Amino acid sequence: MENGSRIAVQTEDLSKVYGEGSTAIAALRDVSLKFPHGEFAAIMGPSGSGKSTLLHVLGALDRPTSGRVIVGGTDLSELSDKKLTLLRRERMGFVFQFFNLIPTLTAEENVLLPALIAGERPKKYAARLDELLDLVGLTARRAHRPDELSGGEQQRVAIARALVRNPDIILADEPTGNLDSKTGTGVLKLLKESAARYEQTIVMVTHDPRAAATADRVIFLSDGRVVDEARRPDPEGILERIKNLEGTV
Amino acid sequence: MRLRRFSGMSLRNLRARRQRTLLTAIGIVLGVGIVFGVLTLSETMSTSFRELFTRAYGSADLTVTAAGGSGEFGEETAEEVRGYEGVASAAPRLSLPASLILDTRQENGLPEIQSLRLFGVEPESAALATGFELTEGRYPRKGGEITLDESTAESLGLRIGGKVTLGTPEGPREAEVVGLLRIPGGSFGGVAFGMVPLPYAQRAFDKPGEISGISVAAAEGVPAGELRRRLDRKLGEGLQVERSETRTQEISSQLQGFRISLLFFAGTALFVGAFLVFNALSMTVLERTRELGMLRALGATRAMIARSVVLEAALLGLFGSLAGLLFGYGMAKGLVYLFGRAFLFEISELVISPFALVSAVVVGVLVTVLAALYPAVRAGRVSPVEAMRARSGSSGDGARRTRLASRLAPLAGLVLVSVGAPWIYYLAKNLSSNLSGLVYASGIAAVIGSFLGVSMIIPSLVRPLAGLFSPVLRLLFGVEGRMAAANATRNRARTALTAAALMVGISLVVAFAALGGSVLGSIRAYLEDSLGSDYVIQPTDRTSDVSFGEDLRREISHLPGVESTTSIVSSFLREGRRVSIVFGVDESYPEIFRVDYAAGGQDAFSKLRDGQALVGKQLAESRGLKVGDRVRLPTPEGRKWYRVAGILANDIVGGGQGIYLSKEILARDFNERESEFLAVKAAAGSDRGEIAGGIRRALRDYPQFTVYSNAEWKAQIEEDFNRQYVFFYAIMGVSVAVSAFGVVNTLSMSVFERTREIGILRAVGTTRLQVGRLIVDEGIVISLIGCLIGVVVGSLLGYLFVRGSGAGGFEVEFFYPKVPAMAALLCGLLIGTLAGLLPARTAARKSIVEAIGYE
Repeated sequence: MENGSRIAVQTEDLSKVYGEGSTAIAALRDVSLKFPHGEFAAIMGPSGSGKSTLLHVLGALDRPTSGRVIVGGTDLSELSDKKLTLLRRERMGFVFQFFNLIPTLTAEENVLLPALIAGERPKKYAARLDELLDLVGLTARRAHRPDELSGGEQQRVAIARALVRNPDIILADEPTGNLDSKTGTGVLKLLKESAARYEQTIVMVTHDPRAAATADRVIFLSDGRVVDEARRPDPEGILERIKNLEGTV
Repeated sequence: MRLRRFSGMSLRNLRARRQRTLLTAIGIVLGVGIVFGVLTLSETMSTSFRELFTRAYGSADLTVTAAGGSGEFGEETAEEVRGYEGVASAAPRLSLPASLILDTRQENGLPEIQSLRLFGVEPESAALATGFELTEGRYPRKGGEITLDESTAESLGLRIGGKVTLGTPEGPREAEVVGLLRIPGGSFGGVAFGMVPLPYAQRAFDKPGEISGISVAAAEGVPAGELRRRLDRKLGEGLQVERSETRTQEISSQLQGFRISLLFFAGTALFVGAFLVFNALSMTVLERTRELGMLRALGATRAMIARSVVLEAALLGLFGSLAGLLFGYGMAKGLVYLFGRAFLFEISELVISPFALVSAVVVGVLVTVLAALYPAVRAGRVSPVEAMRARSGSSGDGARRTRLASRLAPLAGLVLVSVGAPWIYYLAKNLSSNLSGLVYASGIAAVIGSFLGVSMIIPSLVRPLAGLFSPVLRLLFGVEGRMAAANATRNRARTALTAAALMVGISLVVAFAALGGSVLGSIRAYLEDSLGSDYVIQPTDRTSDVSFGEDLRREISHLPGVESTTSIVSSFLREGRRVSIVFGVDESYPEIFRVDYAAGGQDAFSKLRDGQALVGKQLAESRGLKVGDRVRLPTPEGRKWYRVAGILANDIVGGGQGIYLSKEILARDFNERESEFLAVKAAAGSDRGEIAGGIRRALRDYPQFTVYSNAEWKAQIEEDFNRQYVFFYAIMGVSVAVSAFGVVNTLSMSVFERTREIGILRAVGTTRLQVGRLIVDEGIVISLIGCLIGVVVGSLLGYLFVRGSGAGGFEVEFFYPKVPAMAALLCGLLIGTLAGLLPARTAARKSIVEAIGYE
């Protein structure tokens, strides 16, 4: 971890428990992590390891049972639902496994959606929209609806949507999960390039070692705990560690 | 068009789900349509009344009538009024119910009758006496001249110089048309208007020296209010002076009760429409859970999400309401037609008021938005985490809350019902003609509250009822039937809501049928047990109040074979808001009408001779009268008091509100001598044919009256009754229709939700027909649940109405509406089947491959 660089998001002793009493399940146990500004981090782990929960809590979609999440100096545990919503609106971008485009809106309208939600005039974003559509290579298909686009194209729309208001942090949940490997690679490349260009932090949950290998750092989770970490790994090394993890559980 | 702002998505959503939007909108369209139709009908009615009364009193500032508003007084008062300071002019008039005897014949060979309101006026002051405009010719100057309203003249093919025959209590009279009048606002319920010279009217109708009203114009600069006070002081308490506008307002306020009940029935359609909106939006929210979660993740606040759902509803409500207006115009036409048939009151022109237009739309949008509030809040509560889930569905937290709510709801429902039902009973019991709007509204609130209460209980009844139908369905439709019953219980809330909507309409119809059937049954029973007459004589035109004198009665009573006759003189007295119905009866009345006393001895009737009174039970209750108390009535000679000799348990003639005096007292104190009704009792062993023939001969000169045998009379009462009921059923039918669309909507949602399941069923060998039947059967289960509960609730509601009811003014026995109840259940089968057809087709046509791949 480069000392002195600004921290985009950090967690302190984060725990999340679902249910109560004897049926309680701990999804996260005392997770403390720091994501420096501009880093592309991947979170890996077997099913049920708590990686999705970690992403929800980091993205201010859900609240931890205990511990803190600090985004750019703001402690999320002190914020109301409304403030959390505004924080997501201003500082976060999301890319989902199932793309989650609004079927009744065209590609460009979907890209502009965060601006509309923020109550801004779409005109203000005309240049940004052109730039992003060009970046994701969908200028020609901007007026199409999601059901007229391929899976890869839909995910590219989703990435443009995540970028449109230039958030500090992009949270991606299995962004390649519903794509074939070639398309998936393209999408990841795009994500990485844009993050580099706009100086954004990316936290990505994935179970695909090849996807994880594109990240700067890979964090391994098992049974709600951080068990390992790797910097600039190769797919084979990741696969090895995963196998070890699954062996130990 | 590119989306400009977040709220624009609401419209996109409506457009994207076209079928559901249309189905949901139909509820609003029908609901708003019927509300607009009813508003237009009542507006049209009160406008024609208002205009008529405005015009009948003309340009006059004040009107002088006998205290109580009806009855005659001496014509010298007109001269007296003219002499008072501040009076510019005064016009006397004698208003009389009369008839035109036409050349055309009825089926029974007697001439056709046209009801006529006749005014005896002075030619020089005729313009002031009534507000009708002279359009052609002149006012009548001497006997045998008449000035007629032009629309009647036109429909009879009469011009100036034409001849008409007037039916009077003294027999037919010829008259020549000398002028034509225009009634502003067109014809009034098909009644004709005419003017004849005052002395001629007094002679022909045996009212020597009498008038019924004086129109007064105030002198320049004299305020009407001040003149009213001055005249009131001078004329004494036997006469009343009113400003013309006051009179007009009172008339329209008397229509209020009728208007409110019509609006209530119309309102239920909208209420049911709200169920539809609630159901459809709840479903849409559930379907879009992931999308809503995503919007929340992207930074949309709860309020924004909730607002977008409300906006969606508001748009739906607005479009639905606007379409409803178009549809409502057609409904208004239909209602006016049905109203005319039901109450024998023709309305020629619809009055479309801006008030009706605006309020129908406002109410439509408001109801839709209200129905959307809960789904909107639910939408706002969707967690942003839902965006990450693989499939849309409710989270565990929501389910727990729902479970708790579903346990509490039936309790809350029971509380609502147990508060609402006694209140309905209490109100029905105290239902009198002078019920104020507010009390009426509280009764309606009680009915709505009880409906809501029952709706909250229904979810807990869905499973047992479906379980009840299951073996029957299995027997009839095989395994699909049983599966359908199980499917109906899968989304209990939705099934319950759909069934509840149906329950509302069905229960109203059944309750109304119970009330009507019981009233009619009791009348029938009364006619059979308590009416001793064999023939009755009534105005040929049943809406007319033409009357006959004592001569006719005497002639008929002397016919061979006639044992006794009795005629009834009636008078409506108005004092402020209080209306009293006074009847003058003769000594033979108890021989023909069986009299049951709630209080007072058997000799009570003979005390009428001494100026005492008998009163109906409901009236005695509402005014707190006991035997020996005195009842006050306004007479042309001032207020008079009449001691109560007895209280009638079965005042069918006066609807429980009657005050009975002897004919002599009515003639002496109120100047009322003519009767509208005559009952004839034949002697035992007499020749009926001979009696009927004799009566017909006696009536030869009075074709405005017709004789009916008991059987004919009964048939006629039932016919009148049924015609009026058809009118109300038509309005209530709309809410049943709306709820039928609710069933279609719910079934379409089920099909949509179970796309994958249907695919699997098809893949393992279920035929298209079987899949279709599965959906139709589910529709039958849902609508049978609704109709069954509707019949139960309706029967109870009807029982409350009847038990508590003063509806007929006599003890109404509860007759269970067997036929309507059976019809309602059959209707459930029919609605379920019809509503299932379209969704069943959709389900059967689904491609197996796509359905299985559907996520």
